[in-house]
Amino acid sequence: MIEKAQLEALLGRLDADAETAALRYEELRQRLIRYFRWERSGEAEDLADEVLNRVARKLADGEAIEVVERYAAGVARMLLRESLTRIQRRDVALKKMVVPEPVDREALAGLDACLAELQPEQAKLILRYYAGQGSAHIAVRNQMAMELGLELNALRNRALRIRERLEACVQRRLGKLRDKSMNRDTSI
Amino acid sequence: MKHQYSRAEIENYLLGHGSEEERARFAEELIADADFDALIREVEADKVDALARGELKGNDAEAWREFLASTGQLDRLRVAQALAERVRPRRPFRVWLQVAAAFLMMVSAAWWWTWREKPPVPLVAALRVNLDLPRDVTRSAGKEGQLQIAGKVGEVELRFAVAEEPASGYRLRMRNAAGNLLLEREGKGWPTGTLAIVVPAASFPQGMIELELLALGANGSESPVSFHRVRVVR
Repeated sequence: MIEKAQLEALLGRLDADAETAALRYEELRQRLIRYFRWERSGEAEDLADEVLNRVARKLADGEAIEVVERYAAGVARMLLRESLTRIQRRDVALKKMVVPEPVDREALAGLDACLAELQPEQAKLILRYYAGQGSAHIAVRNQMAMELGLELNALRNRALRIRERLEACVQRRLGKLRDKSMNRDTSI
Repeated sequence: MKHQYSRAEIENYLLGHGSEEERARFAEELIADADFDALIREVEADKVDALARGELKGNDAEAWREFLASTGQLDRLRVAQALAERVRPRRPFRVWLQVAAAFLMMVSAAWWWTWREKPPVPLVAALRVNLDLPRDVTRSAGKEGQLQIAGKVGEVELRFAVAEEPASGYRLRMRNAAGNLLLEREGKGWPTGTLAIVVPAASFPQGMIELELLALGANGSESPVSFHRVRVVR
């Protein structure tokens, strides 16, 4: 468990403004979760929290840390080595994998409903950003960045945020459908 | 942005390639640099889309399917398939062509119905293939079946011939040739005759797969019912 003083030490190093610090903390946590997931660890969230706890403890103990994120990366690698071998990690992840459901019409209906929940310009942006194939993607995205007056990185972040919201929304809807069908379906 | 990695290098990293040292350098960048992390997420999303659209073939498709399974993201494929449908370009000319084709097909179907007195094949049937799996096949039987999945096929109906079982449900496991779990499906009840399970065609990798059907007891215990080796050909 992380103590209040330790958490404050970490947040204080991430940013002087409390709100910005909390945002940077969550962003760092999400990057750590993705790192452990990409390394096929089945306990990505727990490991990410443990990294942040260890960094916070070190800071509270007065350890001189130059760049918190790079230090966290070192701790994450060490923790990964401590946890499992790559093969074991893969097996754990496989056991936890989510299985796709059969009827894609449900996914399509879910997507349409979730697109309708977005603001119209967000829906338009996401459909255009992910249209095209191969190198056509790059050209479309560069053109969009120019039209919107955005850096490519900023547009990428915006598109990823919308896509992740959209995916979560569709998954939620499919999950509800699955629960309903499990409750209803007592025979084949 | 401090990193200098290409999309190809990012793809290699995601697929689990590279030495521990290279992966450690990569890890440091992705955790410390939010822009680099975003680029990796974009490459990942683009590969999921490419897989969903059927743009990846053979070993490439297999490797990315394995990536999604081993990182617990196989469910993203389903959403990507829906997204692919929605971003598919539609030109007015093509729409009219589709309307004309639909009209011609309706006329043909009517002609077929009237003169041959046989029902036309429903269009939806073309999107699904059936695989009949005989009963009482065990792991040691050494037989193998074949499943041909054409490009347009969206679903595969696995039709297990089953005997009466005192089961409260069933569980299906699909593994690849290396023994990695690709799919697990459960359902309630036990039918007489045939147990049909519909699975998205995208879940089937090219090559040999193993299908294991288990009966579930009231307390959740598993008992093996049949085991099939099937060669998937795309």
